[in-house]
Amino acid sequence: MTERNPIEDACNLISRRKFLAGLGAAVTVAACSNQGISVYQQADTVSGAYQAPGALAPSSLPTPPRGTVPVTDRTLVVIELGGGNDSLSTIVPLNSRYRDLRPTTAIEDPIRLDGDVGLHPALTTVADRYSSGQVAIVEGLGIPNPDLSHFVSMRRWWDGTSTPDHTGWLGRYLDASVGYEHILAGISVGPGPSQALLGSASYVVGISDTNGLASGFPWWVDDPRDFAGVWSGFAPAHIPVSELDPVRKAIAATATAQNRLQRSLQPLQDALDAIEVDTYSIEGQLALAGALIASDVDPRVIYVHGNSDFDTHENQQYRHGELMGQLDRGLNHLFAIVEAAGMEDRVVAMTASEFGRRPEDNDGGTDHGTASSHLVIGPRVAGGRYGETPSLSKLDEDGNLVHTVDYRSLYASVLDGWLGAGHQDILHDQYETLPIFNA
Amino acid sequence: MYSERERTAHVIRRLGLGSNPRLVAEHSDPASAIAAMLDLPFDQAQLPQVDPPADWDSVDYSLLGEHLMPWWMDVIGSGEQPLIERLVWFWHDHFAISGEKADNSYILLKHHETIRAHATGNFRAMLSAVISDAAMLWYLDAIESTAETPNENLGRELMELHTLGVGNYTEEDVKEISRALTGWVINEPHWEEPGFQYDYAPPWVALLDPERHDTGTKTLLGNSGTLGLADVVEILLDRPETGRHVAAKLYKEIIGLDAPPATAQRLGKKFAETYDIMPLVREIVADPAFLSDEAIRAKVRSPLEKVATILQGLPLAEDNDPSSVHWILNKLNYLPLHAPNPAGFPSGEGLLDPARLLGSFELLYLVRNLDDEEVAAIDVFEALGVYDVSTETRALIDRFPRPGLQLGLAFGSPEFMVV
Repeated sequence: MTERNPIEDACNLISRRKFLAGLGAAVTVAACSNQGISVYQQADTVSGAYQAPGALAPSSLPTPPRGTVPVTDRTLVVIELGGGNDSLSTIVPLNSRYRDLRPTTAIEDPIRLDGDVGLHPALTTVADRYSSGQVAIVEGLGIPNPDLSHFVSMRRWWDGTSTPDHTGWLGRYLDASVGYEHILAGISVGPGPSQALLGSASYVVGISDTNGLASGFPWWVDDPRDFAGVWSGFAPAHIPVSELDPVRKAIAATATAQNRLQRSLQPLQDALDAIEVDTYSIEGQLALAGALIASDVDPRVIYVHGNSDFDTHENQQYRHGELMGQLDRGLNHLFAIVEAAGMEDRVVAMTASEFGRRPEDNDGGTDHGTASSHLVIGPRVAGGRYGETPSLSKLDEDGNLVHTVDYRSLYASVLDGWLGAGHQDILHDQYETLPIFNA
Repeated sequence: MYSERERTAHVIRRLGLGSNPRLVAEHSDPASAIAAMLDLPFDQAQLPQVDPPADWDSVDYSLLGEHLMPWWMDVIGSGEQPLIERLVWFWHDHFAISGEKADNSYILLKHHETIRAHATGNFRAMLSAVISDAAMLWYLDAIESTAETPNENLGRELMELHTLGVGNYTEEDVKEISRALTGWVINEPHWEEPGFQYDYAPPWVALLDPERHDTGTKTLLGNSGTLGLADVVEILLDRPETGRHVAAKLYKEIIGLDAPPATAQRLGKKFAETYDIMPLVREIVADPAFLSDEAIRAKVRSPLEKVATILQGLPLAEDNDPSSVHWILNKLNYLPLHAPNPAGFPSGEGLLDPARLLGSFELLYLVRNLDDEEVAAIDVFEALGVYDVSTETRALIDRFPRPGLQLGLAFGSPEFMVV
């Protein structure tokens, strides 16, 4: 845990001012070393003190109870390309229709994968792994009755169900597998816990850097380093956790998580310092994800989020190109770190985003769209192209792509094929799965 | 089981926001505290008015952090109108919205004014005002809802969360209510030229655009006609489920326990006669359950209640920026006008997540650095409005006789985490 120091206080002040300049800058708060820390445990919707009578629990479909899904030693890393990634500039069609629709933003020099598509030129690591059969490209993913609002579409990607119940698809997976037994099974790397990880019977820990769950104290609080240790005395160790009241249980869980993260994360700092990455870009977030997997934290799901700069309404070629470079370098760090630990066979990374962008560009940028393509990467992936490429000629009435594959088919494929979870109970419906993993 | 002072403090904590030790000290027993809390001040504090922004570029995004929140927190901290502030917060949570989506600070400010204007008045008037309020219509997608493509978000939440409660309507009712609520828009500025899109209406208000409204016949809960928003409000308020749902929710807010079905039935029926809010509050407070041992400390203290308690009971940091509270509540995922979902803010064990627990220690930034003598001169628990403290808690704190640590531990003690 960190002690207050003048740099942090300055940092604190700066982020506070930036934050106050506009709520939209909330991410800045997380950008100071001891700020972006949070853990979330959603209330058990039945025993929570107040829910609008019947509002949540009865309308919720049951989460499969703990133990119905086997616990695996594998880890899934989800990379959220927030804001709506332009997948037509990520996985680039090699036809003239694309170039006609994109007079100002067409990617001129994609890395050709085959006669139909290429990758953004910054995605060199991805291209190398594609040629060695470790990348699945899933095309045409979208939401039925698409909505062009970031908020609505992101919510659907987080929920992964057509009957939203305020839990996320990965939260329900954690509920059904590790439950409350593994406090660090679900980790968000970003400005707070991702809603995709919110369950009703499991924990989510959100961290933004190797400070883990450090808490901030004013300078006059004497020696905050031993604070958590003293504070955990409210949950006496000689009494089993199961016999504690909810408040003391929460104190015990929090102190445990903080202690474990502190112990596991400190050794990682040197490794991350050696790579010299900014922990607040996707690149650094993915390096931190790799370090977490290689440590004894043993996470099941890491959700990298908080970078919503993919909303490239303007100056797309430069901005999107920078982001593609960060993504590619980040994936390189992630796999390099887990390979050095000999754990690469236990890791798969996939991308997600609320929507793709409109095929016809708009003066150097693109507007909100619908269907998009996503990447699934790892040594155990059965490389190749999956799904069905949406037509660039037959667009919907708003000029957007018509999706060919339900986005939950991607989730179902990962839940079944990677996490061994059986997707129907978790997604509350049955979807087509794609054979994107080697047996 | 609890001391008379703890029981008096219970009244203050539940009928106001925050423990306010000064108020507790003014009363010798719970009955006297109840009488004082129910006696609303004649002059309520008024939020200074702000001119509507003339165009998009003039929207001032610091309005919440630097105008509304400092004023609001001052009113709470002053302890002058505790029951009003409890009810303002209750209705804010009941009619939850989020500026994450309805991203316009002026519209959010107006939403707060609407809630405040009706908080101790009449639920019928409040419901009409809130569901034709720009922030609510925006947050629940009603401004996208047209005769051709009705959006079901507002209609569903209006029945499920704001009035009837889940299970008291059919999916067909959701479709029909959504048709009845089509056509509402916000009077926004033009993008390229001066002026607003509906020049006959005040800027930024919500209004019905007849060209977008479904004028056909609808049937909602057995009532047929060319229904619009006003009809919807009447139909929903005529259903006995609405009075019961809202009364039971306010019972839980104040007493902290689930209302027994017969009590909910009785309170709801009486409430629905007029939908006047204060008579319902008086009925609930008069219920013997309110002062029962089960009710005392039955709720988890929310981040806002912690802030209120600090503002009311502790010496505040001299360099306290008035917007500090806004910042810390945002960090604790409990920023007013930014609910996580339409059902409102978490409560109960949902507030006991490690992030909020650890983050709560940063509330100490609101407090002045007290020297040893000052800490020795106050009882930190009494300053926090907590009177019955277990010997275990006292013993743990006494083992670490350093002022900052003691205050931090008092913040993190089981006794302070509940109200």
